[in-house]
Amino acid sequence: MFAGNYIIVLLILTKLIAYFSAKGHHYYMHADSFYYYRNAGISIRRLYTYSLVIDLAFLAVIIISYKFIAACLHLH
Amino acid sequence: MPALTLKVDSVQLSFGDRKILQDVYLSCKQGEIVGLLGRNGCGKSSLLKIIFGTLKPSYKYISIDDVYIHKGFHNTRIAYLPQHNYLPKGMRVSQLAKMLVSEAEWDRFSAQPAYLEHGQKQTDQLSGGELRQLEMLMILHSRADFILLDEPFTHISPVQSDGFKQQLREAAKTKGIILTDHQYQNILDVSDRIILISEGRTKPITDNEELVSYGYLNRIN
Repeated sequence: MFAGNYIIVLLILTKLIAYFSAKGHHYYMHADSFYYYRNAGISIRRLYTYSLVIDLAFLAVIIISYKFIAACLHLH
Repeated sequence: MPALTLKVDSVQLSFGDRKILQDVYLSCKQGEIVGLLGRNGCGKSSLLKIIFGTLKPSYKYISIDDVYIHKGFHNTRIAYLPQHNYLPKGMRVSQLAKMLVSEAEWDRFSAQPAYLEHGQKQTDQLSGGELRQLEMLMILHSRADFILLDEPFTHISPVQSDGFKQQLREAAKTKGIILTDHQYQNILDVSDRIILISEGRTKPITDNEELVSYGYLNRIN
């Protein structure tokens, strides 16, 4: 049980690190394109945040499904 | 539909102790081209960024038809052409154009010779001038009601400049345009009104001789 929770925390941490790295990379390496996205009505920060939220939601669905299946097998 | 009016008032901007803008009033109607002139470092680009919403001054009042707008880029009311190339690298021009150009303007945009020639190329396959031309076309055909152009004639040959001016006049039939450039002759040619920024203040120019008296030019050619 402890090992399972540890992996989940590690997964979430990995995703957060990836989120901040991707955002930082965009701001430092592609700063010139900032105005393209602004003119198109897109906020890069929001775009990355939505990606993170979708990613975490997907992870949550997998974890819940896994726990549910594990509980069913245990009851069975 | 009545023409919308963009008003910029009471802009105050300082960098440290240095006051850049302190008594700014500017207005632009749809259907009008307003030329902004001024010496290097007088705050022309800063003013355009403040109107667009990417630079925060100490104080500003910006409205469209007397309705205050917090940031110009919200709801794509205002579009801005920066001094540098802004299209993301490594992407096809046609892909990028689809996100920026308005649906209503697409047919006119896609019939432009520059787009027909380069639309299927990637941005890093184009020269600075070709890229600038496409960037400006995309902005002029965007959804925005008002367009801000910061040095649109940079990297552009004199022949291309003439074509640009025609495109500007065409776009100004439905949009309000504020532009600035150091190639003042192009600005004088294409603008309906000229505003000079000097000592942080905007000064409407009614006679080109005033550009000499305010110290922007040595003489009129």
